[in-house]
Amino acid sequence: MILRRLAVSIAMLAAVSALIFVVLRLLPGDPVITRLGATPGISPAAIAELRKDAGLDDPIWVQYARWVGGMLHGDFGRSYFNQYSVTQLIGQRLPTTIELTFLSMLLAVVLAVPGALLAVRRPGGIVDRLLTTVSSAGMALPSFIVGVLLIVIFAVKWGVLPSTGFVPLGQSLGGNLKTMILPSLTLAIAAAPLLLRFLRASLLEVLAAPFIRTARGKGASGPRVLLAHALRNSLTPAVTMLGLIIGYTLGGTVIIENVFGLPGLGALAVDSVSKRDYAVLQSCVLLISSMFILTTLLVDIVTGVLDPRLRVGRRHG
Amino acid sequence: MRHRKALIATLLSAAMVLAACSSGGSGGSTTTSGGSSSSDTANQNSSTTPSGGSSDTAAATPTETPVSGGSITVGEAGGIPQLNPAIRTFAAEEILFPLLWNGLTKTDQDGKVVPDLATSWKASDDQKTWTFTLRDGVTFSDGSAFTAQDVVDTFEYYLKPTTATQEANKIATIESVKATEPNTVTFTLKAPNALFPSAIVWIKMMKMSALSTIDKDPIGTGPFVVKDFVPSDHLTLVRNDKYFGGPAPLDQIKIVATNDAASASSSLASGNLDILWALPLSNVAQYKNSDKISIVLPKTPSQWPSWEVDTTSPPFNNVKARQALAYVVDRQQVLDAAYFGEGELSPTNDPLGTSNPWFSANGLTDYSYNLNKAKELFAEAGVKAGDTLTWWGIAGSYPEWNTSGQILQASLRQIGINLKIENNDIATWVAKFYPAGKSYPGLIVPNFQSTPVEPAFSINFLLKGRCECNWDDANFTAAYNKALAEPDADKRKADWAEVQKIVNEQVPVIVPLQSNVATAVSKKITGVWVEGGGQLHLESVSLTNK
Amino acid sequence: MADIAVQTMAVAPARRRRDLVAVGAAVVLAVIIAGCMLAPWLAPYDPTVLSSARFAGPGWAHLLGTDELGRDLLSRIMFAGRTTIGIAGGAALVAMILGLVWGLGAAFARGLVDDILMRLADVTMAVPQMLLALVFVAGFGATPVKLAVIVGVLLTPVTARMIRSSVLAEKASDYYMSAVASGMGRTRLVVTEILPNVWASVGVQAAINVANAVILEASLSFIGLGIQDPDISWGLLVQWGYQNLSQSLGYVSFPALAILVTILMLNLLADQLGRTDTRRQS
Repeated sequence: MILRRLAVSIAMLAAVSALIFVVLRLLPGDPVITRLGATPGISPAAIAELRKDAGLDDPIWVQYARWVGGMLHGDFGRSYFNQYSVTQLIGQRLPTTIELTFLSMLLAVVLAVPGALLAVRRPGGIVDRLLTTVSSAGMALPSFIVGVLLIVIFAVKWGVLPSTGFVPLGQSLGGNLKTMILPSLTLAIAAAPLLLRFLRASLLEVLAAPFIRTARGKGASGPRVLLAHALRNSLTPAVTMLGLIIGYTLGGTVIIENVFGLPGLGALAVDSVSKRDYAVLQSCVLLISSMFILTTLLVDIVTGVLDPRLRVGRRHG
Repeated sequence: MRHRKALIATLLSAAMVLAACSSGGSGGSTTTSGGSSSSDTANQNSSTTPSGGSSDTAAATPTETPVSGGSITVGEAGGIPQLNPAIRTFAAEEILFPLLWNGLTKTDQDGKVVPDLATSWKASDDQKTWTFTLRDGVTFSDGSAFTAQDVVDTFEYYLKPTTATQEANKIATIESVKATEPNTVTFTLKAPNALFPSAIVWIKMMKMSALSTIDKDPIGTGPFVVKDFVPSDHLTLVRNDKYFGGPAPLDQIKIVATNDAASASSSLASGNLDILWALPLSNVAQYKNSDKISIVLPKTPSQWPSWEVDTTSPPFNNVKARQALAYVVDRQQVLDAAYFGEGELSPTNDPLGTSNPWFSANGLTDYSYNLNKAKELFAEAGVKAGDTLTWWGIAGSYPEWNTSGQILQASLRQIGINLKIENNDIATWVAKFYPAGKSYPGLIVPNFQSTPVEPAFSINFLLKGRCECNWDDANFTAAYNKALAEPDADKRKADWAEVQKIVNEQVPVIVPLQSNVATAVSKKITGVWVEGGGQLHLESVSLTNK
Repeated sequence: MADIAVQTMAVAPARRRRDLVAVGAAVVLAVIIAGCMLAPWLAPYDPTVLSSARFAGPGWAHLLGTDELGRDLLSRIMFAGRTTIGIAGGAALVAMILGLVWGLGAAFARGLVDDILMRLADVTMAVPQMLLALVFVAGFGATPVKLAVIVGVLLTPVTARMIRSSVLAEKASDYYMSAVASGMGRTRLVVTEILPNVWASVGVQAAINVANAVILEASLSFIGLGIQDPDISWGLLVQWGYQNLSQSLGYVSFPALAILVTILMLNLLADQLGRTDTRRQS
């Protein structure tokens, strides 16, 4: 089962890479021209030379093969713009994106789990309704607006948290977390309502199941039933959901890294769009997509482990 | 990109700036008084401006004493994309020029060309052979000695056709570079150039054998070296202890991408940023009365919007159409609305600002806003009511361009001519008119030139084959070359006046004004100055005890 | 991020709300849409005309104040809304047309074609939407029309999947079986039996798509890769307002509010439609 999923994931990656590559080669703009910054008096011959150097004259499938072949050796090629190794550019920025995604997920779980537990204590009660309304609003907010709002409140009005000035994790843990709080919170505000609603629904479902009624009948207390029985049994679907949410959060990092000036992959991707640096863009997009695909794969494996029924079921299926 | 982020500055310009470095000179002290003395200049009266300069210093009141050490953080919209000085494309990269590198010559804050790595130079009588004597005891940041051969290697790299350098125009006349003695370099030129020492201030001496690692560890001779670098995000520089001019006042300079103006200004207020370079002009006013922040402006702005048209295709192949266009620009409104009053008007459409020491108003036509004249001239050139012109701009990056376009649109509408505003991404924008020689009838292309105060390297933009306006005027070329070959400053001023007259009459480009590049600087630091073209100088910056 | 959000919301069992909510949301939306679409006639000012009253606060002369060039903010928001809503509507239309073809094709072809079509949807959905948007915008540019098509294409896979599963559900129903048994032709089957019954869920999806299109366009424009000067959209206005935050709070707030209210109303509407739909099916 895992092998099959692995194969599907790899096929998916291949397809995604081809899609990105082809779309980026469809257009007319010349990345070499942007790099020149319109140097005065440049000759067409020099431009042709630069194009050749960048490998832009080769047939598209040769370029694609070179890209994919290089990646298998960890070499993503060179930036059209500044000639830097794309592997190096990405390597510098990958940790930030991973940290941002991780912290956002952590915050989302921290917000959503207690929220869902509170909500299902009295379904339809005032707390439940309040949480449902708040989470609807939370989901409707585009993340860049949330980001701007948080900056306005915490950085501009109160001046308690910085809105820029990223500090790398290796330099200072405290300083790093300080710069990561607002962006992580922004993404968590988008992710937590999803998780909350999903967890709430599946908790309600589990709570209606016969074994919970049995546990209650045996005199187990409300909180104990919730935590020991219901939450544990809602875990599997929640993890599946988390996998999906991670995908959306990865997409969200593109915007949020730009709003907060974090040196992550998303910021690099946006920067490379404006410089027409497809060599960098294609690898960024592929890398983020593969992180998503990998997460989905991991989630599948984890839920398989968590829930033996699923494992058996799948084996049959 | 947010506003101002994708600054491809110095676009198309023969951008070079006279006022370049002013690092601690040969004194070996940590004082911040900028500029080495020019007393050891060998022969040059030729390159100095007749008066005035292109710079301004952050006013240091007597109560602020510079202190040694410390670090500052400098904000800039897009961040530094790469480190090779030869192939810079973004204006922000020029911040590094005086920090990491040296040229043979440099210009001080008064705009004078003074020695840098060369201690003296002299020209042959025909102004075609130039000999430079190099400073002794200079080492690169890796410890190796700087020699005449390094000068030759560097120039050969800059001169290679595949090196896409914006300096190409200024050094195009070099025929050969030779290390004639261990400390002497001789240049042979194809044409006389009395201003050669000022043409090469931005040719930065690199250790060419280290070119392959320049993206991580550039080897130069400047007062700072790179500590770490994430392209387009941040760059940390630390003091170079091997610097020949004595250690820089600061321990560290960090240059960060600020992404957006809002958070940048809050960072400035909270002290997370000490300097914010090239801030959006709409944000300048708010600092004017601040007790923590001052605004540093160039003394003589020499950055100018250049609205280019194709002078070889209709309608702008007709000089009357170009003159009409010059009249239809409401310069005052462009300055007030688009540039927020930050700059000075160019009523005579002159690429030299009115405060430029070489500016000469004598006999120039005043092109101040005049719809009647514009209408008349357009009619004579065959542009009638109902015709449509196109404003070909860049999307997103330059709000002042778009506002200018809208102002021009409104003015043209009053005489019945339509202006279609089309803004594209940079690659599409550039492809339409660049390289020079392309035909783009009916397009008005906003752009800007970041130039030195020296006319030789701002007006040279209009020479044939360089300006995308495709202007080819034999009288102009002759007049320009005459001025360039003239060693005497006073006679040269008369020559430049002649050049300005031709440009004024022929209107090869539209120059509505000279614009400021504004830098917000914390009052706790001193020694910041900005060249006319907007280049930021940090080499002599220090913290104060304030 | 939001498409999944809204979908969960649409199907999540929530407490019953009166139809009043749906009607209210529809009315608010109608006002916003009408206000924007009729901007050339309704807006108090020409949105491009400059004045010396820069960063004016809300007042009688300018109801929502002015921007950095003294242009009337209300008028600009109305004109920007034309672009934003136009793109969102266009995108939803594109997504619906492509989604119907794709989804119906898959549902009726079954077998290999279905597999290929659905795997194709998987592939496009494996790239976070925002990133795919970057790739497309880099590839094709960002005029309003192109943006509408790009955003529409981005929303297509989700729409196609939704349509496919609704159609499959219908096909499994008794009345469909009996219609097939009665020897009805395929086209007629689709037109008379399938479409009318999946219409409600298509409507929900359309509302969700419009909301997501608004978010995508606004996000792209906000980071500077969407709508470009001299065109304006809400996302672009938020960006500009944000740049001038220190001068005016209203400049950033009002366009942001326009986006929020529109999305919120669309979500409410989708929610209510979805619930009606669920009720009918159960």
